[in-house]
Amino acid sequence: MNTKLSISKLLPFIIFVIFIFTMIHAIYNFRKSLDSSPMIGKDLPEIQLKDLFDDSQMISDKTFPKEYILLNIFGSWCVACKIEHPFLMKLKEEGVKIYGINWRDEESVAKEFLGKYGNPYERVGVDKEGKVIIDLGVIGAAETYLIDGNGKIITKYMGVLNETIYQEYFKSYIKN
Amino acid sequence: MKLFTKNILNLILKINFLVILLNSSVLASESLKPEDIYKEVRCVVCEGQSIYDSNSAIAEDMKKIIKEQLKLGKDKEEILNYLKSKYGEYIILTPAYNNKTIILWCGPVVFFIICVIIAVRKTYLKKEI
Repeated sequence: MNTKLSISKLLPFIIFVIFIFTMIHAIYNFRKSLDSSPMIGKDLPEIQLKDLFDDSQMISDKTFPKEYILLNIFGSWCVACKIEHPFLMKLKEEGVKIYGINWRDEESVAKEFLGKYGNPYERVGVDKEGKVIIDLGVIGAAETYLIDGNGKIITKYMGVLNETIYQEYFKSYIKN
Repeated sequence: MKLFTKNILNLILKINFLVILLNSSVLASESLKPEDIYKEVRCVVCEGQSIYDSNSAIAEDMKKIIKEQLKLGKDKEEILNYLKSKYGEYIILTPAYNNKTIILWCGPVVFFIICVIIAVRKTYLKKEI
């Protein structure tokens, strides 16, 4: 009799707890789509951008080398980009090929930024309007994509790139 | 009790019908404004805001892209599908009703119904005593 009464009293609480956990799980799964990015595993979208240093030239995804490269989204206004910049310079010295997409900058300001802090990029494309940015599914600068030799997006990292992140997110793919 | 259950089911069906009616294209405006789409797209760097309400860089660029696509003759579904293909389902402020989001939509309603049934049964049992 006592057991029956206890279960009866606890039942609403148990149902409430199950409900809360179910909703948290459902909301977490729904939000995950933003972190995981549906672009991963897909081919690079078409990239046709003016070269920052020679506006008679175009940066194109078709001319990316047939090897692993990093595609880095940056802007002179971006604090995270300034923080990760020395690490990108280090990667360049190690022979890692990095291509840059300069977002929402005047060309002169972007050139000044790279002149002041160094240029880690093989080439830089200018995306003032954000068309390629949105085609890539970029959330914000700084963001870095790993592209394989066949133009496929292998993975991406949203945020400041450093040694630890590079080893965890990118190095293992390049090694394999 | 049977009458009570019948009334609850009736109420659920009516609420369902009302939701479907509100979402139907019968009530939707025929001329699509960019703002109508802005209000349905989540600002990916803001919490709970649409790009309509946001001045962030990515929101501003998304608005430009949406305007361009409307000018090219794309409809709302095509534009939203394009954004979903780049950012995932979460880019749409109101989750779609599908297998993945059925718990989000029905969970609170089911929970509410269970609470009502428990409350009414307790009241009903007390009265009988």
